[in-house]
Amino acid sequence: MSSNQAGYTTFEGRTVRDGSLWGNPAPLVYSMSRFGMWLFLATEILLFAILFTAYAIAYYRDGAAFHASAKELSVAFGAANTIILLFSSFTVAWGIEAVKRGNNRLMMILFGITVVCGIAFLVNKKFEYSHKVHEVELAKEAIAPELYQVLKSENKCFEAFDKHHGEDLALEKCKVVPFNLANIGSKDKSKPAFASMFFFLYFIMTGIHGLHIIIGLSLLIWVMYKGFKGEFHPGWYTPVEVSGLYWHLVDLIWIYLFPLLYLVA
Amino acid sequence: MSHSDTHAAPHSHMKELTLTFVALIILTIVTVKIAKVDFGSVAINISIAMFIASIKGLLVALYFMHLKWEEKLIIGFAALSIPFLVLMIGTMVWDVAEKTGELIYAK
Repeated sequence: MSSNQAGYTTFEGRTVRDGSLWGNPAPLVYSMSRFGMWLFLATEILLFAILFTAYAIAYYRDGAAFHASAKELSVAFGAANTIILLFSSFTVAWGIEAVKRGNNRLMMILFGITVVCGIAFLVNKKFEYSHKVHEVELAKEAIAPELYQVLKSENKCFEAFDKHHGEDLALEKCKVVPFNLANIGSKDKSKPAFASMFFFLYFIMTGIHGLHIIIGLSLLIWVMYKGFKGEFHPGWYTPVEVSGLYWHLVDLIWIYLFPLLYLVA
Repeated sequence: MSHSDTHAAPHSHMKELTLTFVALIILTIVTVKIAKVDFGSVAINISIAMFIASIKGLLVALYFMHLKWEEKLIIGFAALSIPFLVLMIGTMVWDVAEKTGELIYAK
């Protein structure tokens, strides 16, 4: 037993870390790790707060366009993704309970389920995104068929998008066309800029959230790998707990994104 | 013994976690159902949706993220992000609302 290096101990015959760090005792390191993670999560909350602020301002300026745009999203897809994420959060919380008792194997199974849920979420999102992109293309074609064909063949709509001048009819139309889903079916094409804000925010918010899902999945897979090597025991499971906190935050953000993006219609 | 073997089996939170999960699913269904009901104004509808989302968020933070059993210092710092959140969203929307009001008045 005394042959263990400093910072290591023995658990069920394996040499494992005892949770101490740089000479600090394990309970202190464990508490400070959670403290640090929570500080990081606070900055994450503020990152998303910027997006929520942008949403609130754009909504304040033209709520009607938001309602019209949100109708284009499938509530079923959004609700399914919500349930998937909630379930994945539950299995993470359960996994932490398991590893607290030294059960690395159950933790790996539960985190494996979480990873599958996370991938299912991303696959769902991928279908949603490609569906949206397809609809945007259809909308462009429906609003200005000839122009669309010309611009598509010459591939210069995006150039024209940023530097429009009122005199040029072609450029003006071009400006109206992209991401203008909210105006489909309505005759009013006078305020396309804020109609497009909804989908701009939709892609940015869900995109950044999706990035967090990918980071979270990487963390969980890393934790599973460490669990596979049997590194965790009741005296040290900080990475499991801290990665779990990150995954719960991703879930927490989605809880707000779902009603704001899918249910405002 | 440099390391103590006195790690008593920690108190299990499985019951609370399961109840939280069930509550979250129920609240999700409620959110979807209630979104179809018109409460008179959009502002009320969004407020209700945000209120339910906040209950769900609180449940996740308290139970899944263990804040209920967390140390006071950590709870304090976690809670401190909420006033900043309100400050940021609130002041910016307030500012935009004021300016938009002036523009309409100027016309």
